[in-house]
Amino acid sequence: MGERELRLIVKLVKEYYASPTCFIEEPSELPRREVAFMFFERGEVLRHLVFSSLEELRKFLASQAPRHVYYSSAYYLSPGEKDMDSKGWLGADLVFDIDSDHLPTPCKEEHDSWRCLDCGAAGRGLAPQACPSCGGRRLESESFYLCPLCLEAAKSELLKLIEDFLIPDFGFSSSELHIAFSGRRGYHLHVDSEAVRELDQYARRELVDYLKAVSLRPEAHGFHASIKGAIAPPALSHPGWRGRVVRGIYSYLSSATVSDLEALLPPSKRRLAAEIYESKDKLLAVLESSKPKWSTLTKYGKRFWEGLVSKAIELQRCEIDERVTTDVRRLIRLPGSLHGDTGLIAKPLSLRELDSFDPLKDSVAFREGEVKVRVGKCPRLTLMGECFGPFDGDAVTLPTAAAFYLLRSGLAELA
Amino acid sequence: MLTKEDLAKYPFAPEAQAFVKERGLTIEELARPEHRTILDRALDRIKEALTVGVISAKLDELEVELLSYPAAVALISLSGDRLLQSRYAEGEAKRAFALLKSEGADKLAFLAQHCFKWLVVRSHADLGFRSYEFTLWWRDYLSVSMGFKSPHWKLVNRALSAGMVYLQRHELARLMAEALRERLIHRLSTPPSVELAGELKAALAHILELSKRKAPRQALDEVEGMGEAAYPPCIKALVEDAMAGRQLPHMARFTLASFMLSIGKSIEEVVNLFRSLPDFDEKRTTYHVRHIAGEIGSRTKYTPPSCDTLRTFNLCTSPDHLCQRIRHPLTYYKLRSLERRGEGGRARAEADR
Repeated sequence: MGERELRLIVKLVKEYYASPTCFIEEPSELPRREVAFMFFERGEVLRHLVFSSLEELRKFLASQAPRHVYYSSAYYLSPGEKDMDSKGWLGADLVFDIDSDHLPTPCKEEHDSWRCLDCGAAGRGLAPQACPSCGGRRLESESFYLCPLCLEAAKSELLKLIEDFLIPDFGFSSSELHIAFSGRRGYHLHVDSEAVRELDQYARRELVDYLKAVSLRPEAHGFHASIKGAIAPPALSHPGWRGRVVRGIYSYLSSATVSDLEALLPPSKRRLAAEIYESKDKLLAVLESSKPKWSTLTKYGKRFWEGLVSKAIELQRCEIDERVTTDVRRLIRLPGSLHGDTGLIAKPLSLRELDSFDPLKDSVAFREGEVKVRVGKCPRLTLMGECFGPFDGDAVTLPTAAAFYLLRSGLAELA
Repeated sequence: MLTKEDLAKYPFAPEAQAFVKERGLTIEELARPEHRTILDRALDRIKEALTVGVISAKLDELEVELLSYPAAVALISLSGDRLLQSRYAEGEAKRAFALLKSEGADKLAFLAQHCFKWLVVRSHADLGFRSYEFTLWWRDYLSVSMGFKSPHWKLVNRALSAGMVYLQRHELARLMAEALRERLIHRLSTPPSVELAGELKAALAHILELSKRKAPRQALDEVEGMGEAAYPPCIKALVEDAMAGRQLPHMARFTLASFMLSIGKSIEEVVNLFRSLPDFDEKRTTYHVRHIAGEIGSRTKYTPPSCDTLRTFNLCTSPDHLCQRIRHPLTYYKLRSLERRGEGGRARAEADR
């Protein structure tokens, strides 16, 4: 980004933070938290700052126009100490990060690409483990974000986290859950409750393992070899993972194709796939009973049964970023602040607002004006319900929000 | 609600402690002839913990049984011997477990609420062929369950609903025993400030002697490493990935660097491991490795993450039979090194500990 572009970006960000529409939710006990910034003009992180009030922080934002604003999930005795061990850790909110990067969406083919650094081969979609042409493992991947489909997938994953896990299993109330759009690829969820503050990293890891089904043993929830003769077998309505696996089997079966089913069967039994597919409705009806007769499914063999259970777990587990949740000293984007690389607001949301929230419309910060830019090769961009591009070296006049994004991505320059 | 017999059984209950306080027995007074029975029983408790591993419950003289507990605790904490302290705590925990699991459900729930301040609710839930008589708040559950190695205790393998973990009677008793063990370990590490004299001093010396005879083990960290052949599968895989120049996530790099530093590799050797990575930058890598080695920054020398953490971060790859018995990659390395030197028998014994 050149001088002129930089000046424009900084001016826009300053205006945002000075405007009355900028709503920053005051984190609980702000003076106990570490605040950190990154800037447009220089690379390093400015850390270990303390703000005694939201007003003071807002003044800083409007005068300095930072690229990113972070605050610590942790509460410290002296948050301003530079040495982490001297800060005096008092506790931390429980934080979850859901990032569409980790979700297998079909549109990855469209907007993600990779290139082999050894032989130069390239392809679309998520980068493979090794280069298919030379076998090299030095792959560089690139992605064009702001994909509505990926953001929608992140939202459903967030709803799964809240509605399938945190509320029913862990007993959190919706008033303890604070949601924020991350400003780019997904969502953050902050649990601000006395009950979780003092959890150490190990306890948080147990939570992560619960949500991601790490080390889950199906037999611990009743899915063992003798399930067919069980007096009280797992059923849809059962609590925790026990019922969840049944619901996973139900939803896998209802959408499985014949070839999905074939993949679960050993070669000698492949022909059974059609039979299972045909009797799908009957099988689903069996699962709806309060005491399902599991022999209707186990009769297709151990491999099919175990495959089905593991598919069910895969479907039901929650894709959260374990690094964020287990880190009790994490810096997280401040809800209400601006993501300096997208121009989108990390908007705080209530559970009720989440349903109808469209990040590419509702979190756009720069809603007014237009900017004339020259855009290099780049796919279509969706913002504020409008599509722009694809571009290939065109000089165009774009709404400020779209221009901001393209300038910051290095895909455009001021015309 | 607690009888005197209950107090003798569960001397860690708040009422039991109030009773002891009221009696006002000091440690020096234990040596007096009229308290002989209490001192003897206290020494018995300790010997049982060291020899059998479990402390018995002698309920014929309730007051002696009750008062011998704080007496034994005082002696053990004065010994300053960590191994002795952990064995004694283990012995008391096993004693409590045996007593607790045969209590009625209401009494057990009461004791859990009362002695450990847990949120326990009596329930009558049947899931499968098991019936769960209790539910415990997940926070209280995690406060102890993480000390257990078996996957059975992992939260993901429990029935959890509305914040409460379903428990069977023996499971709640086991959790309480573990909570007692941890509480004792903590308490025993801060000795009261008294000087022992005469008979008590001799008794303590005797206990220490007994404890020493029971524990002539070589500490695991004194083992000399045996190189690559002794790496656990997860580390082998990371080394291969690094050599092949595969992109490694942060946690993988940290694990590899901290493991190599812990087994005595130099900063240069560790930096070289990362040389094939696509984003290798000598200066940055050296900085990070030195940081992990504790040379710069917080000066903390980092150890590699435990097996549990590696599993969470999806870095536990193709675990072998030795992995089943250990919970830390460094333990694997040390045991394999011992085994390679023809000390297999002891390696296995160490792993089973």
